[in-house]
Amino acid sequence: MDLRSSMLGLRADLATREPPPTGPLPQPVPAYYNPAQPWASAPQGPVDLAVVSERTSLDADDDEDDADEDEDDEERGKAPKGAGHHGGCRGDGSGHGSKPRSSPLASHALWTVVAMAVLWPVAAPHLGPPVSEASAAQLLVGPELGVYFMAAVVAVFGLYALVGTWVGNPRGLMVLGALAVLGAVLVSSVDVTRTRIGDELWRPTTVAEARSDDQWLNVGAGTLDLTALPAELGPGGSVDVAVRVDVGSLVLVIPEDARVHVVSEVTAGAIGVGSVAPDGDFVAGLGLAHEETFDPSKPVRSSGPAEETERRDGAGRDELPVINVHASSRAGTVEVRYDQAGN
Amino acid sequence: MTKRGTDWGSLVAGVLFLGLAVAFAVRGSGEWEPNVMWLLPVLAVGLGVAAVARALFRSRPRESEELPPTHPPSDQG
Repeated sequence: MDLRSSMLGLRADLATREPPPTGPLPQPVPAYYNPAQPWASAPQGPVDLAVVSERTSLDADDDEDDADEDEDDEERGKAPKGAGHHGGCRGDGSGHGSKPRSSPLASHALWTVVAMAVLWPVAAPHLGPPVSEASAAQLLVGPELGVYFMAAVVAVFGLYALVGTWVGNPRGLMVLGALAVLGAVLVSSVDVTRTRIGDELWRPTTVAEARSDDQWLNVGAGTLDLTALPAELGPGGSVDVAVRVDVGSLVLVIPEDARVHVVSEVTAGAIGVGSVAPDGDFVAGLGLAHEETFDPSKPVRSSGPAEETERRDGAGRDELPVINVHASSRAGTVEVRYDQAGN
Repeated sequence: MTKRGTDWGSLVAGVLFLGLAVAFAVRGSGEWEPNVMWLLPVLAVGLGVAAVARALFRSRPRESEELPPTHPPSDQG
């Protein structure tokens, strides 16, 4: 071909002749694109998902790239495919496909803990005091002996984690170990076996019962019925009563023939104030403390001739039985009523 | 499985949990009474160190340290 003559006649050729046909347009190359690699961006061509899935399943017979015809295309196509092949098959020691999965150490550790929890209460009665006298719940989570079992559970997770440094798959052991430590902290700080959950009604009929420290709930709805006390106290008698519901509602049913002095403390919740429910408002908030005195709405009934004599001599001053109530709650409500059923 | 590198984070976590277990057992026997609340920050800090150790020393197969694949430029025109 005479280059010079082609160049000189180029302008004339362009004006008259058809342009030479272009070669076949290159087919879009299915490029490798693994969205899991954060540095990768989608190629501009179409992404052939069959290529992606085959690459990531360690298929050695990968000959999807028959569309290349140029040398350049093949070389460019091979480089990303090679790197992508390695990137696709790199796992954290537990790959899929031909590589066997490492043994899940967290699952083994959990089964070890379950076996310990079953075998320890079975073996303990044969070991002599003090472990032989405790119930299973006290052995596992009780205040004195439970901390040893929880420490053993934490140690089991620690041992499996140490083993997991070299063999096996230690994923999840840290989370389980953290939960075990939290459980150990809980067991060693509160008495889990003495948690009271439920609804309860206290109706003390003697002064000693009312004074007892036994009226408390951890979670639930507690009702303290004091209507039986004024008959026990008599005029001028007084008693201090304490009641506590950590989480839940506390209802104080107060008698109508005694002076009741109520001190309520609620860390987070509401206290009924103003007057006896359902009148009055609820004050809600955090760190509440409220004192209120409820005087009897009906006259105190005298119970015998001795009282009448006293009253005649003592210038008519009424001697009321006084009940001092201390009601507390961590998260809940405190309410005062005259009637259990709710008026 | 012998080709798997050592998981240093797991080692740190294992030592941490064993130490905490000993602390709980000693506390249970009454000889040394640290406030139990102190063990929670120890746990949190220890788990953080373990996670950092695992991330820093995560061993990768060396032969695949290549550049990430770049898509071939289009050839039209």
